[in-house]
Amino acid sequence: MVFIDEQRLHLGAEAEVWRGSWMGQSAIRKQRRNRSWRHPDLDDRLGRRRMIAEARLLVRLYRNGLNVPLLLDCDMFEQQLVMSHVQGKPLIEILNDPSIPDDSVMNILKNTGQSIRMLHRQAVIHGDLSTNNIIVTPENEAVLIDFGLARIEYETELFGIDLHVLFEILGASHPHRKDAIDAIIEGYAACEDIHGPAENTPGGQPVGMQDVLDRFNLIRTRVRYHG
Amino acid sequence: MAGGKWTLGIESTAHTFSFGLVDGSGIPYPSKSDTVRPLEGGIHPREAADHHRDYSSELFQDILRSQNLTPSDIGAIAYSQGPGLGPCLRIGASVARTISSALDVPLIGVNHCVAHIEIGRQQCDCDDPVLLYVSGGNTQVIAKLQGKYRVLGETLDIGIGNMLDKFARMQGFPFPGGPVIEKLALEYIQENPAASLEGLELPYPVRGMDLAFSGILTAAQRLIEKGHSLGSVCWSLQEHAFAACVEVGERALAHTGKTELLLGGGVACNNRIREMCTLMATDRDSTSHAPPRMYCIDNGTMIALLGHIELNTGRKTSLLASGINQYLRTDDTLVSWS
Repeated sequence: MVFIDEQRLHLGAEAEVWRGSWMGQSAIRKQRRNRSWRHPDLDDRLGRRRMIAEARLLVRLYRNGLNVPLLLDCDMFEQQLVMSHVQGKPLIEILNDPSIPDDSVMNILKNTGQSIRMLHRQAVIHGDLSTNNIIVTPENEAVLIDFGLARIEYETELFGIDLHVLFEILGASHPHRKDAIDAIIEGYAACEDIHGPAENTPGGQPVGMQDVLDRFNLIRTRVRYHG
Repeated sequence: MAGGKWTLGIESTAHTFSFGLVDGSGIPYPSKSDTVRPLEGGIHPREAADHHRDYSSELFQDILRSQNLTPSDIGAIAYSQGPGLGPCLRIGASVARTISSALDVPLIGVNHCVAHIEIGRQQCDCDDPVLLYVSGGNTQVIAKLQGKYRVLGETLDIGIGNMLDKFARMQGFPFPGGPVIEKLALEYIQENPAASLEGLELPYPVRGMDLAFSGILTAAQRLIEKGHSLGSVCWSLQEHAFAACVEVGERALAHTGKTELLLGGGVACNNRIREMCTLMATDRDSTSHAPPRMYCIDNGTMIALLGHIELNTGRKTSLLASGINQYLRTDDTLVSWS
């Protein structure tokens, strides 16, 4: 694989993420790590499945016009993927930066909600929405990255959980932005107005926007000691 | 202020009623506890509360005797104010109010989950850990962010310990079932060191940093019904469920950039989950910590320790504010100590 490592960006739970160059262009290399604490059968099942799913979904989403990293290379033997580098800052840095005006942050959060709905309209759950996995471009667009836990799904519950995972992380990491989730929901809900009803996907009708939001509100009441 | 006197801690959030002690400088001493062990079924909250009421006075004598103390050596009373089962919490709070009024010493209500963290930090000498809190009722990954302990991810249905106990109960093992499952799993892997998970696959319930355990319980029971040996299913159950917890712990380390993992809760007594955490932490140049087993399970000592710490920050609980809160949240406690 013609990838030249420049800098390790992140030591994730499942993979090491490197920035570097691929055929002369700036790119990201995601190297899956074997997890010694997991039984090899389970590790292999999860690793292979997750990596294949990620590669396939990146291609599918890109072809359908979503703003996701472009898959450049895939090496199942070395367990690595190479994809284009999305320019911008992770949402976590934006939320922790007091110098960014509130209305700008709210706008970014609405765009985040919209990007999530655009993904859900493809009948795809992200599976690991965290403020590290959302890149804010210089144009304030929100690009979702890291599809290692993403899957094609048609069950309302899993879309609700997708939002809930982000909600928990927002509450934990960014408690001073109490209205963050509301802005995300607003962007999520507005998506249908802007783009019309979701089109059918090869597996059927994607779960509707209102159904997801209703389920999300239900899941919020289900966890321990909610407010 | 506790001064040179001892702080007594009272734990009564669920099945265990326990008194524990820390001395005037905050050194912990072992608890005196009794746990409800229903002959069949799970914990009935009111029956557990009756048990706690029946045992409280005997255990109070035991804990004083254990360090040769008289009631006048007690300088403060700490108790679990929540979260937990309402009837059980009320017994602990009543006992705490009674002793506090009788001895005329300060009362302090503390958060049970935060107490698990603080006893772990004290015992393992770690500074700023991500806590993997695995017990019967709770499965949460918690870290200190912006002055409070915050829940980064948690189970969306039942706690992992609850799942293990339910599975054990279906096989006819009494509560607590976790240790039986651990023993059977260990025997199985010792007899079959090259065992494969093929045919024993179970769901892997990781949802970002959240978890879910009801599906894995059903699937494990189905393996039993298909005729797989009990040992093999116990082993597979542990491998899948613990791996999911450890992965969530690792996700939290990656997300927060912290380098210490701390185990707490009853399931943290299990050697396999301890081993997995150590391997995971070592792999990413971090460290994994687990307190002694008597401080993993629910115990009065951790309540005494947190009470001692919070009293030193100047907080105490007035009688009027001493009511329990079943839904007390981890991030309701302002962490003003270090």
